Amino acid sequence: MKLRKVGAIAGIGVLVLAGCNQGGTSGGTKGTINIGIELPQQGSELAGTQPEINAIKLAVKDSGGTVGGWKIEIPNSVILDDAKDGVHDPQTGAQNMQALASNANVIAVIGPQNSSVAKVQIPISNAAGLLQCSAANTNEGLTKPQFGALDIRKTNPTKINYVRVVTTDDYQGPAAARYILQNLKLKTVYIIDSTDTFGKGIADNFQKYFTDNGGTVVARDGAPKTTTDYTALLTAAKSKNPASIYFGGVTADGGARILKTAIQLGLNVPFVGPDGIFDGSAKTKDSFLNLAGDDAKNSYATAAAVGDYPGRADFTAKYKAEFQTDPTGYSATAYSCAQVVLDALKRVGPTATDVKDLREKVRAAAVDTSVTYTSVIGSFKFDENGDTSQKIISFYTYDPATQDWAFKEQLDFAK
Amino acid sequence: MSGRLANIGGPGFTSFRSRVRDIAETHRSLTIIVAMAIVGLLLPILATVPPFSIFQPQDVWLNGFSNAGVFVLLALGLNIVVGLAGLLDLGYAAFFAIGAYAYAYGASPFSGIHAPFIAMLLIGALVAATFGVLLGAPTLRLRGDYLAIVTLGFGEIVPIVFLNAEKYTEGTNGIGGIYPPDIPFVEFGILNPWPFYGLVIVLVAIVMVFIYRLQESRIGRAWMAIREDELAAASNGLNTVTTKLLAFALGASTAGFAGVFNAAKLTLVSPDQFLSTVSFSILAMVVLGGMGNIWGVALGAFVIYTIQIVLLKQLNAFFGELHVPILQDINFVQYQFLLYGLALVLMMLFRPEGLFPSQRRKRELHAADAGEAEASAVAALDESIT
Amino acid sequence: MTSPRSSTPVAQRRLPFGVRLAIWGVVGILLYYVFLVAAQYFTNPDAPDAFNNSIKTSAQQVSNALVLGAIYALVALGYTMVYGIIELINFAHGDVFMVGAFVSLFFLTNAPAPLDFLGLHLTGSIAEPIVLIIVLIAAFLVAMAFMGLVNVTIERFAYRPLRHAPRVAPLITAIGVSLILQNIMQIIVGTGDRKVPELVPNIKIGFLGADIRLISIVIFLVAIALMTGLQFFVSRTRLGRAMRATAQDQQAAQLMGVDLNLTIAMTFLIGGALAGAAGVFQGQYFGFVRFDLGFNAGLKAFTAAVLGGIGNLTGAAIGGFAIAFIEVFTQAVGQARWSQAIVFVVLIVVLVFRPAGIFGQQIGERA
Repeated sequence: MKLRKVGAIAGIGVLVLAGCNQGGTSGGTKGTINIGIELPQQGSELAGTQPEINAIKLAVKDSGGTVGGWKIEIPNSVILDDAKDGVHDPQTGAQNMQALASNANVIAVIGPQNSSVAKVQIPISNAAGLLQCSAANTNEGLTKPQFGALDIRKTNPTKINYVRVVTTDDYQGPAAARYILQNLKLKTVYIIDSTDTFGKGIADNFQKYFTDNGGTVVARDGAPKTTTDYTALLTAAKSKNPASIYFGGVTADGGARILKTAIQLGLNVPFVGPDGIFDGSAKTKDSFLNLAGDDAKNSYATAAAVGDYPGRADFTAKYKAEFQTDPTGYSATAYSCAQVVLDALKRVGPTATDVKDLREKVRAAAVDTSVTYTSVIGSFKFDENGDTSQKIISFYTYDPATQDWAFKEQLDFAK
Repeated sequence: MSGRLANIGGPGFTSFRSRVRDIAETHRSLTIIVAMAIVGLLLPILATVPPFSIFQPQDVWLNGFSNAGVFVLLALGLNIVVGLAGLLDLGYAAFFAIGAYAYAYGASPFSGIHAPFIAMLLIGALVAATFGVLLGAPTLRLRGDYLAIVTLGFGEIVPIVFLNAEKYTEGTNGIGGIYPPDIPFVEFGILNPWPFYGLVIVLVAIVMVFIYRLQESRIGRAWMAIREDELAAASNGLNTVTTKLLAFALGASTAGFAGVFNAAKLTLVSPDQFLSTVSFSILAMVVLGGMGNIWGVALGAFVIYTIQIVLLKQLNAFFGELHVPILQDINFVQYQFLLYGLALVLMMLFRPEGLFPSQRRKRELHAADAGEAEASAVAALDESIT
Repeated sequence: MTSPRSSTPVAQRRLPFGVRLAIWGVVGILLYYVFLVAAQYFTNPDAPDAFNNSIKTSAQQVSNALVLGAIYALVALGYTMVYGIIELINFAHGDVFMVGAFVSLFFLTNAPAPLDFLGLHLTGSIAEPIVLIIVLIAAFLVAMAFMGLVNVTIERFAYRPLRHAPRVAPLITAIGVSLILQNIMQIIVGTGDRKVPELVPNIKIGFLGADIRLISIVIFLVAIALMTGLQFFVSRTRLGRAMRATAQDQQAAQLMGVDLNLTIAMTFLIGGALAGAAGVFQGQYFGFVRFDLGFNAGLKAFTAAVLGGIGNLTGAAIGGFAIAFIEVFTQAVGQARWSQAIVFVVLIVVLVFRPAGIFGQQIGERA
């Protein structure tokens, strides 16, 4: 009852001020449009997604705010949270996508973070012809027909609307496996994954390549992110004498905790992980290196991005200047997604007649396979399924002198 | 309903009202159907009226109502178990999951089968009920709080099984591309919220009538007797185990029912949709709505869901648009849990019987203080025997 | 709460309870060890040196399980005490444990801004034994006192008004309190792990093939001491008797002059203190604490309490060790994915055959 009264007063208040905030024309532009952001923003997921939101807003700011004749705004009403009870929730994600799709001013959406949410959102955005760019989804089944992607873009199977700037798991996992076998010259590994879509997916791909190429997996365990005690697991693993450890997951899933326990038990072997642990130097709060400290001295990380490119340093400096912290997690890829949207907008903005026309034009322009994008994660094109052409995996190792990841080499997996 | 309003409109109107009330009370099922029809028609209209139309457009509201409808169904089902029969079930989402996965096995590219939706509704309910019986048979004789932990355990086990048994359940990725409902003459497009909305109104009405009928039947009175005083009920010849098992099974089947609808609407089932936090949410909806009262529980579910999904998430947008000085800078998204927790605590402190308690519950609550518990227990017993 | 000894006639007095418990404990541990060795060996009989390996690794796993069990047991005790006295499933208890862990973190490093001058600002282990002992004891006292008080406050404001409400109402309140505690902690420290300085130096002691960390021994001994102290308190002191009386029959206890409010408050105080101690252990042993520790820990502790017979102190302690043993066993044989599920399956199976838990008493339904 009390809440309803608040709602009533609130509603009246919004009604009064609603007029001030309509997407009307202002100062010589063709109109105001929105870029939607759809990410989980509760609990531990917020740590990963807040940098993305910051990066997207930074990208819009860097573009000047008006692109292709259209003014871009990202009000709070199009930044939607798909978390429920602290965890990303596909149903909420679907609802949010419905909301964004029916908002005529939204011409593109950046998100989601989790592949399970993307799986329910793509049918909706595909039917609505709304461009969706993900900075973090890595599951193959979202785009590749041979993994079931056609089942989720049933309405318009050939009118691609979902793109992503990150390489799928089927490259990063094998890259790490190859590194262990060929560069580190080790034959056995213990795999531990976080049991969620990303962690398990990449560990599966790792395992397949590793065993197909002569390696032996001594044991494999799945430990969800809520695990606190890894001693029993690692004691059992140690008894099997693995020469290396592969961790499938992100830092928040326990990468540093696992490493610490392993070292404590005397399992001092190379520790390899995906870009989930490649999240900043030892000075970055909550990063893998920060939590692991000296234990990280024998750690390696892969990143699904070009290692040394000019854009990265610039981006880091700009981000730091704007937000006073290091850009962590998926901030660079989120910035790239924003760059994709803005680039498409620049190309078709002038010729679009209204927001509805603009939405379709932006989609078609963004997924155009002939366009090469130059972004803060390097240059890439989209293929006919919306996947990035960039299949470069970079390898990093921990450098105690700088207390940061040091670039070792990169491999191009484009076949 | 009575009291102050009774005298509005003068004597003629009053007698009309009392006639309507008499008819309503004798034909309660019809009342429920008519009431749900009215609600079904009113809500879309409400969504076009400010202030609701400011928050989000009608399409989005309707979609939200459909999703809220799923939770209304779940709350109604849990109400049978917790509110009517007095059994504490802390893992209700497990049955929701079972119904959803059952539909995924019946109508998705993963399984290769495409069974008709209406048949799957019944099959899903049946499968969930079967699991309810399987779980309940060995455990329902446990004391109340032991049953609670067992149901909590079951609620933890089920998502873990779906997560780890990859070959059969696609594990953490879930089964996607599930077919939408295929009711003749109705087209369930993914962007069109109306058919889903209509369907959920119909389903809620059906379940409400069913539960109402149950409540007024011998079984319902048996549940009431068990809830009030199990020992007395048993010593009067009531088979407590079967009665409790029936409540459990019916509650589970309602969750299965809801699961099928949800899977068809969302087109995806994955283990992370069915964690224990969902069970706690539904429990909170039942308690806050008013345990035992069908309409109370339905309304409680609807209100809580709308608050969780619409209000709390929009607080940022809302205060931002209003440009309220301090509040607009606070990132409410990270305080969602805090506010929700506070709301739960405050609600319980000020109105532990819920927003719309059943009359019986109110008597119980206050009778407990005055020591009339025995009197009401005896009364319940009398009713269950006759 | 403890099993009455009134059933044994004086002539046949058995060994004191504590001694019996210790004997059964040792027997249990040995049996567990044998199981582990067998399981480890048979999952991998062809590996080189399989048998010796199994022996060594199993000894290590037993020590792992004992420390984990000690932590679970302390949290389970708080759960069971509260349940025994007011029949409330205190869902917020796990979060009290979590806050306790953070309190010890703040005490050892620094409190969150703007109070960050408070705290000892330690960063690593302490070498001098006397200083180490003093700091450890101080950390314990601070955490236990603080969490005891927090628990009492929660009881006073969230649960006491609902003492006569239907049983589900305080349950919902407990869920609400749990959410509030979690969210407050999250706002203060963020969502990531926080490192806790491990005070006890990383010395390992070899025993039967296992390398046991010094901190493990400390935790185990302190936990046993706390549990023994609790047992003594409950069975010998007046307040303890008052607690037992209230647990058995609230109205009768009141008639006998027991101050209900005080007794319940003391129960929450002790339960909170134990959870606080467990929180200190968590930080010291694992080196990391996180805002969402509470839910899982609370769940396991509740399971442990029920397994042992809810309301029964010994049961809760045994239950805590049992849960740890099951978890470690599952993980030792490579089925870590299933460990949560298996714990619950074991619980259900035990309850089917012993409906009141291992040590529980079948109290008749309240008439």
